[in-house]
Amino acid sequence: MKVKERMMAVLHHEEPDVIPFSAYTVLVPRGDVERELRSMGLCLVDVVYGVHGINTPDVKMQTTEAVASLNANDRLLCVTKQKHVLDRVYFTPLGKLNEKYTANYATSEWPAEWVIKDVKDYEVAEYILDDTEFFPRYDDFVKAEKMMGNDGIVEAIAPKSPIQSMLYELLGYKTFALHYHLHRKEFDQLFRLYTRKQLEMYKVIAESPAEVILSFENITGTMTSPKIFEEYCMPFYNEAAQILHSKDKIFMVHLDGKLKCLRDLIAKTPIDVIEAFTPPPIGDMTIEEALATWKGKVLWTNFPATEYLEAGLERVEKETISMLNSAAPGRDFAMAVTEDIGDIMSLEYMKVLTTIARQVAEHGAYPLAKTSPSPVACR
Amino acid sequence: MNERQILDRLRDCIANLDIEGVREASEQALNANVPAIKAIDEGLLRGIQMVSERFQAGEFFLTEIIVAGAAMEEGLKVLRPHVKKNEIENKLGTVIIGTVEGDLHSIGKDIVCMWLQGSGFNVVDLGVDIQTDKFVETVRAKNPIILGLSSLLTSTMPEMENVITRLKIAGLRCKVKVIVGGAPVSESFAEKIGADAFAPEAVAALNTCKEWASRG
Repeated sequence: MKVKERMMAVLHHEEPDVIPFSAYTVLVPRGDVERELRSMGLCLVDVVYGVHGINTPDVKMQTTEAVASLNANDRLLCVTKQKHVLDRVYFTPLGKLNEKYTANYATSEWPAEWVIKDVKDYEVAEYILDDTEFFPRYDDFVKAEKMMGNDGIVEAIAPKSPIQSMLYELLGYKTFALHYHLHRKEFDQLFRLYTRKQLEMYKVIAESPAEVILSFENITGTMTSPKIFEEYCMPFYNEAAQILHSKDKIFMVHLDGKLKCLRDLIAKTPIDVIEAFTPPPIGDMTIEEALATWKGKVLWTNFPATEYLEAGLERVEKETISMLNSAAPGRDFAMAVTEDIGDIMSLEYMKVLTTIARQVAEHGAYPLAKTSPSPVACR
Repeated sequence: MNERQILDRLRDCIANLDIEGVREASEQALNANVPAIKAIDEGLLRGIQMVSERFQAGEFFLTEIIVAGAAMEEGLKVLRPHVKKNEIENKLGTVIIGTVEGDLHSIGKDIVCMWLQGSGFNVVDLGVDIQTDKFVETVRAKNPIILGLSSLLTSTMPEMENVITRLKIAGLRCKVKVIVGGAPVSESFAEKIGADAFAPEAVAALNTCKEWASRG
């Protein structure tokens, strides 16, 4: 099987020749190591943000960017350590709101100040949401897929569900918690509006040429409790999946947190693929438990590379074999590295990645044979 | 209401996440001449203890912990001005805490700060994205008994080891206990980098710090 064919076989609940092993393109080193990885069957995964365009006719947005002060040493030694602060202001006829992001190491943006700071901000936030229109913008995806060919798959990114968007993007965890308990009326009204708008967006995404749709939900059970998950996430997943499934799309959700307290609820969702599932010690569910609980869903499992970065390659080998063993016979199972672990050009990282790829290539023939647990598997 | 009933009310309001109730009960305690430190120790902190038990039992989640923290703050706002100096400050010693460089996450750190402060530690919260030098300088200046390091990104975890190494170079490592936490951090990682303890969640961090403080 070709790399893409192998991965798509698993996503369609068919049998692969070998358990697929993938990494996001941004996490794959270049040069000889890349060639070696791909010769061992590494599946590249590219993600395309914004197959939907966004327009806000009555809301104007202004972004200013500043480089945060650094000490002289930082400036001289490492330009990549520059810290950018983005201040985004939304102007509406009802007033303005702002949010701040800090971008570190030129790789990721993290919110430093959220849009909703006070309960009086809900009215303006609702205006902004209500003013938002979505339109198709599929060109980037088509280009990315053409470039990828059979070397991997390209996924279209859908936004986080409304409740996760409120948590991560609009309110931040403190305001989220306080408003959820103290201002439920305003909280729920915003949630309902957000749901309506995001479903409009999902309709645009569903019409795109992408077959696989990924939402970076980043749910962890400690923050998104079973009660919140059941009341706010599940109804949205049901509606979103209905839209996507009506257009034969695969609904994939990035769930790399602690999921044990949500496991039975996740089982009831129409999510097709649990992407980035992370076993202990970072997550709190074993592969066996996840496969048994989430029958009918694909478990695309993250190798918790950080745990083994300096543990020695023998340990990485054993752990990879142990993970394959846990998944035997391997139906609906794929492996991946989905976690940004820092410098992808570091020798240690490259060795870990090639070791996993080699073990999967050598021991991952489908169906996997269940062998007696290794000492690593029992830790 | 007698003193015991007022203290129980304070406890229950915290445990029931009733912020307004905590404020009222705190005022009630002062009006009834309950010593402020007693209202904190036997009212608010008993409530926090109940919240932590419910968290450990899986009945409460982080949203509830945050609201309990807000309720605690509301009570402290009323009671703290009436606490005699040295009755609460530095009762258990100083803890310095921060999220390591490159990481802007604060949720875990903030919750640990809240619990530690509520339990009588003097907490110096350095914030997020803290450079290694800053940790070392603050340990030197404040002479804490504990340093807490938080990281929520796998890519910033190595910074924890850098801080510990720099503490050793500065000759400060033996003077301070180091506790590490954050979603991707594990016991084995903590051991590998030479931390004294790993806390999988806020209550565990609090318990470890209390144990260390009690040993002196």
